[in-house]
Amino acid sequence: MFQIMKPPITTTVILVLSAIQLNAQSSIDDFFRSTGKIYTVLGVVVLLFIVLIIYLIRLEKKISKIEKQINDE
Amino acid sequence: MNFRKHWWKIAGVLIMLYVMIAGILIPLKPGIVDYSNGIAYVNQSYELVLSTYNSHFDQANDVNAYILLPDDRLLRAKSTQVINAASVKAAFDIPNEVLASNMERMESSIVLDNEIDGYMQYPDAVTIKQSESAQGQLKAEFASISDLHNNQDFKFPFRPIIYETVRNTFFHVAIWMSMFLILIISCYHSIRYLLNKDLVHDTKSSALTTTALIFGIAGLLTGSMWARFTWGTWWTNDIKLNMTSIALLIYCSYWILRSSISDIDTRARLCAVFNLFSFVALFVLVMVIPRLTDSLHPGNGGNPAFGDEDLDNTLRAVFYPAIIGYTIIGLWISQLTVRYYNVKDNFDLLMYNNSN
Repeated sequence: MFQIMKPPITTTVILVLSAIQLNAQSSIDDFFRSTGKIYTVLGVVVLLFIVLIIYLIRLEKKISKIEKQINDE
Repeated sequence: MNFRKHWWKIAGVLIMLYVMIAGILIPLKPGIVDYSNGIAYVNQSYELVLSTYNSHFDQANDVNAYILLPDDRLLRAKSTQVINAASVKAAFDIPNEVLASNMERMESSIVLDNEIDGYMQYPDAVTIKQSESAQGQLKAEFASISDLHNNQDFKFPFRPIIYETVRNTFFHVAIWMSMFLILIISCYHSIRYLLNKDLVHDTKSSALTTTALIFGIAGLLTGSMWARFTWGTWWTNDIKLNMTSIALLIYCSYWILRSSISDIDTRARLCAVFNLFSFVALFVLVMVIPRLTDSLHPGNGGNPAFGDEDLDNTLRAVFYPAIIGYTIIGLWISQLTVRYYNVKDNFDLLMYNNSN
């Protein structure tokens, strides 16, 4: 009996990413290099913001959990 | 809300607002982006088209192009033709005397000047070479540096390749600096813990280290992004990058150490010592070793960082507040983490007492 093998998630991600990169390499590069590379600054600010927000969301989840425990008691 | 208790958070938010608004809105000085021809021969004429950024050549009357010679004289172009606001065509006659006969070649900067933008230069743009046919004695006009227009507007410096991303100083470099400040505070609490064995300091120290690690990860990611569009790759084998990743891995092992010991006092003592060790390691890896070799990062390979070359006064006016702002935001995040740990510890203690 044939069984269709599911590719591992990492392989899928790498394939999809490389496909995106092949198609969009030049246009994304052009975008980030346009207008004196100002969009690279935007990218850096957004990355910084995302990292801080991810940490705050994790903290928020932890606090919600302890709040729930306290309310349950 | 208690203003006396929270004023520093308000100050931090206001400083960050200033950093973001000033960091984005203050324009860049004009500068030369590219040029069409980089090789000139002695005793021949030399023509090139220069493209510039943020310049106003179409509105200027007194436009000149120069080649900067090693003795600080400026070789004036025999004709300078404005194509549009951001491009200029210049033609030079290169006289014999420019290049000594015993020299084969020389790299010189090109300078453009007008009365609105001031002067702008592209370092080592043109290579002047000896030519085979040395016939004809071309004459040229020279000017001195004091003839250039100096525009003192409050603008960020223009650098080739970097362009607008010089603003990343306030987002990438500043977050690293504030990571250092937060780690110093964390070390202070580690020492306080080792001195008086008060667990409050252990909690504070671990929260501060976590925040610093988050800042470090943010610094690494933003640096990668910046590198992609200036140095051309996401990751280079630059000494500073590799050493920084080693230092961050040491800090990750701090967390593995912390979560692997269940006894509170042992954990606190070991973590305090390890935290001090990690900071020393980080300092040596990131601030000392990259200075001993060549690095793409400015200020490495001998000379101290943030000399006048890399950080001028306009950048400083935003860069230093940025460091303070990030540090305050970091302290705020750490305070929230500490408060979470305190609530959790009290709750766990309560549960433990109830169950007994």
